[in-house]
Amino acid sequence: MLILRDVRRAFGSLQAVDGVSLKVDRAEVVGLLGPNGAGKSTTVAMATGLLKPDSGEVEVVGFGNPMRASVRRQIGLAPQELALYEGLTGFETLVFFSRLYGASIHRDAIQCGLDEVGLASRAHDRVGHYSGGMKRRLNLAVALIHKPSLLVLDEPTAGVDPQSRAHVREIIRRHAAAGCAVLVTTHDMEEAEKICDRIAVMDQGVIRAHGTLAQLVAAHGTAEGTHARSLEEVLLNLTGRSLRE
Amino acid sequence: MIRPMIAIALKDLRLLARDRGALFFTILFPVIIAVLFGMVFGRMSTPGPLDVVVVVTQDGPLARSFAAALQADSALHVQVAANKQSGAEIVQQGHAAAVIILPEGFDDRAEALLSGGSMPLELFGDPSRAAELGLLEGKLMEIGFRQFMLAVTDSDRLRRQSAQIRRQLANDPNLHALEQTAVLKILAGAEELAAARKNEGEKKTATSVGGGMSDFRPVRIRTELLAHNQDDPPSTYAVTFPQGVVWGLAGCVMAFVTTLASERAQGTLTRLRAAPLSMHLILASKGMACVASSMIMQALLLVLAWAAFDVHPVNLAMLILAMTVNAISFTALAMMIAALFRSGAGTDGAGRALILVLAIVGGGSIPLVFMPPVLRSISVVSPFRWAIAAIEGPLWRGGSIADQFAAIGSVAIVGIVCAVISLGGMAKWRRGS
Repeated sequence: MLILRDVRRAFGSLQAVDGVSLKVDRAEVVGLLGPNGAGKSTTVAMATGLLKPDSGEVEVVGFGNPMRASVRRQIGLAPQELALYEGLTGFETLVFFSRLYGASIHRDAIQCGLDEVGLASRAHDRVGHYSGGMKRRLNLAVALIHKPSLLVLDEPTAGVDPQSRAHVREIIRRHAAAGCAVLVTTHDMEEAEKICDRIAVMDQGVIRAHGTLAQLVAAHGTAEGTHARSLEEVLLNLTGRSLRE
Repeated sequence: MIRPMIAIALKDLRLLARDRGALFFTILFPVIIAVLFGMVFGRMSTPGPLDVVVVVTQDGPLARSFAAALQADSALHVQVAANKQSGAEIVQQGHAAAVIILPEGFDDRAEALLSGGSMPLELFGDPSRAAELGLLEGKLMEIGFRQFMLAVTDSDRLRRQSAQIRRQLANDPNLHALEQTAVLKILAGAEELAAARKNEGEKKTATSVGGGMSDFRPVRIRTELLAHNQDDPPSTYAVTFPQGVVWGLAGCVMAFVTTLASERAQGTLTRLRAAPLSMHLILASKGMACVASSMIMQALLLVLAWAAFDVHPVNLAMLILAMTVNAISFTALAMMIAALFRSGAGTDGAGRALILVLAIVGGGSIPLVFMPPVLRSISVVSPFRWAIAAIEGPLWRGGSIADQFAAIGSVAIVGIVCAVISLGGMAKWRRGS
């Protein structure tokens, strides 16, 4: 569904993404893992048409380059920030974003969208009165409201309680099972282990390794001096243990 | 294409309507400024006695007496003019509220007060001072009553009037002899009373009249409003409501700049850009909301000025054009501010400061006519000055269509310059994002 071919993007002298190639198929959840400054958000921005690569190609299969507005209709983005209008209600938020995508969505469908993320009972409350977890769930509902073929989630469970986190993960898996391609960035190893079919570990603008959880752990997951194997060890082995800025 | 644009514009208007602070500065604050300044400037223009001009057309003792009574009244400040034209000029220059004319035949009519006559007066007033004209009519009526009381207590004058009535009675064939006798007795009684008071030295000026005389009108006033001098506003509100419009436009610009800044800071702009919309379309939609809010604000203010403060536009079509050009040009100004500053906080803070200074320099606080010459020449750099001029033309200043177009065109030029700068700034903005 989504193909990135050798994409590069620099900001001044900083090469944020340096030749990333990645593929996300239908009904598949691909996780993009990496420390801060690895280039994950820049990769997501290029995958969703928010940023033009300096070189390389991005393609939403069957539709084309997401820099074209019509192609972006196929993409649902949940940015890392809680990008919501606090003065609107949850219901109004979904109506507004559905209209941006040109979707004629019935009132019932909006209510279903809110129900899916557990906000039906608070549909007519202003977003400003929602808790962090509720906002995060609404952030996801906005990405889903126009029924996209490709879902791009930038740290979708950052800063939420375990209940909301579990709920969000369940929704992601459900949509993938329904045929949606999902690209998700996260710092949460448990999340990656639970929801991702394949994982790409990224650092300093390049993908260091990618494969299934089992493949990565088998190849890179042994901790020094022990026999313990985990995704966290994979990440640390591939990206180093020094602190990042 | 148009549906998402309308969705964004409606969303912005909805958020504006729910933001009490923004709503205060876009609607309520301009109304307060317009009404408050109107009241303050109104009071400043009439601090003491009411300025009037008196023209005595025929020089008779009663006309002189009436004019003297006007001059003696502490509530009036009287200037004397030779004729109606020179009196009207004084009024049109704003130096007096009205010209009072004691016309030809004043003495004859005043002499016949006891036989049903009344003193004729002509009042030519400044249309912008309707309330003061009402007070003036009341004051003239009061002076008229005083003159009447003088007439009935002045034995010589009463004798003259009695003689006149006796002649009228003698010539009236329809009056019964008994009725004639009764009236003559009353007249004789009144003459005796007046003579007795004269002898007792009680010739006092009455200052009030009894309730039984409430229907009697010793003065007949014919009031006309003078054509307005277009260099002077019809009222202080005609000056202060365009000032209110300036503050409303400033509020709308700041609301737009703030929403754009917060969209950038909160990440909602990223979300809008991820939708199938071009950046130009997003900005055009937000601009549409700014234009709509500016139009609504201007319409509310000017309708209020019309309905509550009697400020009637002289050219409604041109006024609507001026409002539209103002709304579009100030939206371009808002876009320019948003484009020039990269950070949300920078846009918000610097934008507010810039708008505040431009609004004050442009005549938002002190009307241009009251500004010192130096400040007035500096004000040409402020788009708010041109916005005021564009509104004032069709609101009350009038003048030729070319003059009005010139003022509106100045605002349009400001808008075009801002739009060009903002397009350049936003191109940089997008490349850097």
